[in-house]
Amino acid sequence: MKHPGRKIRIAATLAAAAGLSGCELPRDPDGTLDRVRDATMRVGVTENDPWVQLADPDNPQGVEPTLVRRFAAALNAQVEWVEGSEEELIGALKEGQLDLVVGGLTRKSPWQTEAALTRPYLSTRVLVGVPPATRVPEDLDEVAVAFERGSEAGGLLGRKTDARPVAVDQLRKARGAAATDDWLLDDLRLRPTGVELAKSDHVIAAPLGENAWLVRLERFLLTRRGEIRALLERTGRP
Amino acid sequence: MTLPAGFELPPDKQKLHRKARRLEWLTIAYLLSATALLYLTIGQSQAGKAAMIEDALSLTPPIAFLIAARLRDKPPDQQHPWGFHRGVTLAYLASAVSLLLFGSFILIESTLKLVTAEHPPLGVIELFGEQIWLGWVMLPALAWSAIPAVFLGRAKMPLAASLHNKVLYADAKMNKADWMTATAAAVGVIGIAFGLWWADAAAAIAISLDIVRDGWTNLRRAGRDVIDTRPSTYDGSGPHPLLGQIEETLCELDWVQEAQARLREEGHVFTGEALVVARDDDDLVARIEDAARQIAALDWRMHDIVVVPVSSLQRRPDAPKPQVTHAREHA
Repeated sequence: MKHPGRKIRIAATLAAAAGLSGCELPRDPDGTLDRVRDATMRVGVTENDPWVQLADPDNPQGVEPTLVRRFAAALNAQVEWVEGSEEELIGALKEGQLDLVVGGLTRKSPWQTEAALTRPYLSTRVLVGVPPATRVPEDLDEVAVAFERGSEAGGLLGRKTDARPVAVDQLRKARGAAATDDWLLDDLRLRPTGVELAKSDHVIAAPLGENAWLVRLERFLLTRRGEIRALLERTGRP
Repeated sequence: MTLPAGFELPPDKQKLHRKARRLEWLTIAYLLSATALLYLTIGQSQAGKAAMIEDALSLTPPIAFLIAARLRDKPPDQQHPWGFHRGVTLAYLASAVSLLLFGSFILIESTLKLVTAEHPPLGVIELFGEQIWLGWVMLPALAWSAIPAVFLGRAKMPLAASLHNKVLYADAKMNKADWMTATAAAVGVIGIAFGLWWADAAAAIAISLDIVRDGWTNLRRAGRDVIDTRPSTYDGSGPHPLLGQIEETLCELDWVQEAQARLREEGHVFTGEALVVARDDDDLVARIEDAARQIAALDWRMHDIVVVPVSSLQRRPDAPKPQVTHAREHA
């Protein structure tokens, strides 16, 4: 019988893979990892506070540039920053002119077929928070909830809850309930209500098919979840 | 002569049929698990996607078989004088069309990926706190979608033969061929591991060609059933011997001068008409009823036969021999 034989071969392949993990396989068709190591990493950045802050375009700040610098340090590489719109950067990534693109991308990104998105390295949520002493009905019926003017929270509040959305310019100055990102609640002295408006799974974009490179980056990100959360809470402070 | 009621299998076939039903339920549970496992592990591998869609589509023959098993027990009524056997044909046709469409879809998609040199990205998955490359996880998932299927197919094949069930036969054949799909996908994955990006799309093309071929074969068979082609053996290798047996049985009766029969397949039973030219009119009604009983006793699949006396028979142009032909519509 050849089928049990196949099973053994597959098991052997797996064992070999486990033994080799981290070094040989998978390989990059275009050799990105080997090219970047001990050399230069070309990274596209697009503004998206607090993920990427481009006050000084030559020296990007924010959660993701910090992560990129740490990743580059782990590979003993320099970072060359390229600023542009998401579409420009993804195009350059696809054509092999960039090695990574960061800009607060999430798994819902429309670029799934143009770029390899990493496994989400962090999930954030948009929540409704209330001041500690207040009590609100579970369905937020007719409760005034502040949201930052022009953010998606306003629309989500109207669609998903019975709350009365109130657009404000600065959440810090608003009183009462507010809809905002989970990492901001503490700073705004709000307590979460359990009403979740949206969830974002954050990712970084790599070139399609450069699997050694992708795996290396994902391993780097996934082992640092706690560190990344702390980084966000520090960087995201208003 | 009365019109027949519901159809029952002979006792020995009933036992086999129960076994076949159990196997088909097992197949459904197994295919669901294999599809789910692949869904979780394929990432953006095109070959993995093709293998997953094939597993998902392999669900249709067992489902068609089980629906048919239900319909079989349902007797004909005023509104459905021929019973519900044709429902099986409908299920069979639908599954053939879906195979053909999905196969073509993957074929086109994979070809485009190959032509535009789109490289398949496969990252890591977290299992038990370890980060493992998705490709390594796909291989055992593909093995699960291959190896049990082969054994299921082998178990079903003899049942399909003794139950003369075409849906079961098509299903068993598909299961038996499943290891090829999984192996092709595994080759694609191993190709990706070695940085050969095209291996994935190439494997997906091979798999989709197989799906298209399955779809085409099954569509032709289903189409033949729809237009009432002469019944064939369960594996389609030749005409069913029953037709000849009926005409021989009739011609051996001393009052019959000539006879012609035609049969159609409704699911796994036969219905049809036999035209006879009698030598004389003596006691014709009793003779005809007796002839119908004799024909019904020839084969357990012979479900509903109407014997009609006529004054003469007209031969078909392609008829090989006077007695053993189908009857033309007779005025």
